[in-house]
Amino acid sequence: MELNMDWKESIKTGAIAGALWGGLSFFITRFSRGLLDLHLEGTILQDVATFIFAGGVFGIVYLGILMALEKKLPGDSLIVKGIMVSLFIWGILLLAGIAYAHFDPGRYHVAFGQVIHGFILTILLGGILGAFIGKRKVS
Amino acid sequence: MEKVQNKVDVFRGILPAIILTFLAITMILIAYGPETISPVLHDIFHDFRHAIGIPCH
Repeated sequence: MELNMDWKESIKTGAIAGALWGGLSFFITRFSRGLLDLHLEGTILQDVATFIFAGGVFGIVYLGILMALEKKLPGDSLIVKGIMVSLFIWGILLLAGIAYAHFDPGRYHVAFGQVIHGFILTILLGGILGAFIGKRKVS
Repeated sequence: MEKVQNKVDVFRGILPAIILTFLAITMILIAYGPETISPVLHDIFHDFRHAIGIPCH
């Protein structure tokens, strides 16, 4: 199975899949914030907009990297490959965030519950991206 | 060969957009200063950042 998608199609697919993931992440976060001791500062409208926008940006970047690495990743399942790439990029972002917390502990701190939350949302994003490109131009 | 040419054409097509975007961002940074823009960006995406587990204040 080989991906056959041009760059315009991949940007569109990444943006749609990422925006969908952003919307889902918003709903999940609204319900799970009590468990995470997470005090949301934005209004519902502001959070819907920012989660969808940020999700769209993440989706485009993640899908671009997935397209570049797809042939080098083991296995046949695009969903599994999407999850691998998604966790890899999120892991780098998290490590950079942990470095921030290390150098400026007064301002940034690692919250374990939120890291688990992010881990689950990242798996969801990888799965959605894999499912989306699996349904699109695959020959 | 044709594939390589197509990639070059695509890059040439989006290059002006990349340069314009870069210059526009630079202009905004010059006009307002990075120290005024970064807190705004920080606040706008604060809740999203927490949701995906990235360390924050």
